[in-house]
Amino acid sequence: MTTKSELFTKIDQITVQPAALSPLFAFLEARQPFPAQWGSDSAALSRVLELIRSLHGEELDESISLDEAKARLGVDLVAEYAVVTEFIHWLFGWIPKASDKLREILLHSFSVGLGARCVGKELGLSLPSMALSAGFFHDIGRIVMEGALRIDKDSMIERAYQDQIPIDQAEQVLFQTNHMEIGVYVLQKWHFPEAIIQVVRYHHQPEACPAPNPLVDIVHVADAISLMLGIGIGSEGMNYIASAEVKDRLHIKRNQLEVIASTLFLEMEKLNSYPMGMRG
Amino acid sequence: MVLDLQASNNGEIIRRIGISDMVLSSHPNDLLITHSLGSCVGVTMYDPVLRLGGLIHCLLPQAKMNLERAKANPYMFVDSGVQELLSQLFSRGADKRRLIIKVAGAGQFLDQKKIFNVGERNYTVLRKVLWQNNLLIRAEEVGGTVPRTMTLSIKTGVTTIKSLGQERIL
Repeated sequence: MTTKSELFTKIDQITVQPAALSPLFAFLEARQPFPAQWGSDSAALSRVLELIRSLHGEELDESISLDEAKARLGVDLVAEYAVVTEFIHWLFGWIPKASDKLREILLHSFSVGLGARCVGKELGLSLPSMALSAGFFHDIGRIVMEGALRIDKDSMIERAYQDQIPIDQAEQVLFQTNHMEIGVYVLQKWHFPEAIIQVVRYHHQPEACPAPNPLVDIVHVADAISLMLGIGIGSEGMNYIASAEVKDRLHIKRNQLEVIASTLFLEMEKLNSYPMGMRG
Repeated sequence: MVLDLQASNNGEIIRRIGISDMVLSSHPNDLLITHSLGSCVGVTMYDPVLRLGGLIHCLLPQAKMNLERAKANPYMFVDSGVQELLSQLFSRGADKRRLIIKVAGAGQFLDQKKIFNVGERNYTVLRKVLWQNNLLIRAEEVGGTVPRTMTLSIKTGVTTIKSLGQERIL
């Protein structure tokens, strides 16, 4: 049985990091202007425009340029899409033989990123900065556990069903740590924004957050809705505890929950045409 | 419609049915399959005389939530989707008295307060639609937290459920 110290020793041995994300995060945190090299890196540009065309094809021209996308969608959203496409590109370089489980976790991550935006929109919230990225990276600990540490996921799932506990508690029982702790540790090593790290830390237990955090709350709800849709459900089932406190805090009505679920489903259908590393 | 065709080793044609989708078939080689039923509900209906069957995977309980979306895709909702499945079965000659109906999914989260109880509502609305049509469920595996895969063989009418690596006949 792998111990916690063995896991963290392995994590310490990870020397690679998604450096291309740093200037994008610096922009999203309003520390720097939009990175100029995006105009000249044709491969990166092509990756992000492919995602934009998949998700916004109905409203945008097939031949849309980066500047047009920034003007139509907002530069922040384009930067967030770039964070996602560059991370996926980097990840499949780091882990070329991605397992089906890793692909499933990535698809779930994608849906929670898009779902976080749907939650904010439907509830009429002023969408916190980096909602898409925070949702996308909420399970980075799982991505690392599955992709880099090759942890036996089945034993965790078995334990969660056997004891009727959420997957993070099953991880705790088996490894004395969980994907939130691992995710926080990795993202701190990679110098990710603190706002995203907070989401990773508290997305299963928003009540434990020192102060109510809208970004944590919407990602928590988006995570639940993604599982309801069955996206990523193979990795944890519905062994999830939805927070009553968050539901009250966000004043979510049943009807709104269903609207968000149907909107997210339609968004994920659009993603079917987005091939990069997510299928096959 | 998300439809994916694939031939299996024993000559069956596997027809995958995505979320908010339905397939009706009388082709004996067809094996209808839907994956990852969470709070969604999966329903198989089969007329053993005609060897005609359908499988639907509904996301949400009631079309009134968004009539425009229901018009574009009735299978998204239990009430409009199941009614449409029934209409298509009847239009192809299926007999209500022979229909074998099986149900899976409608999963729930672990929390006792049932905050996001879409699975339960999906199941309740399904029962209501079937009751309104004087139809009974022959077998079901609903609730709980496990994800389920559901299949219907058009040749045999057998419905199976697979979860946690175990497959069984429903």
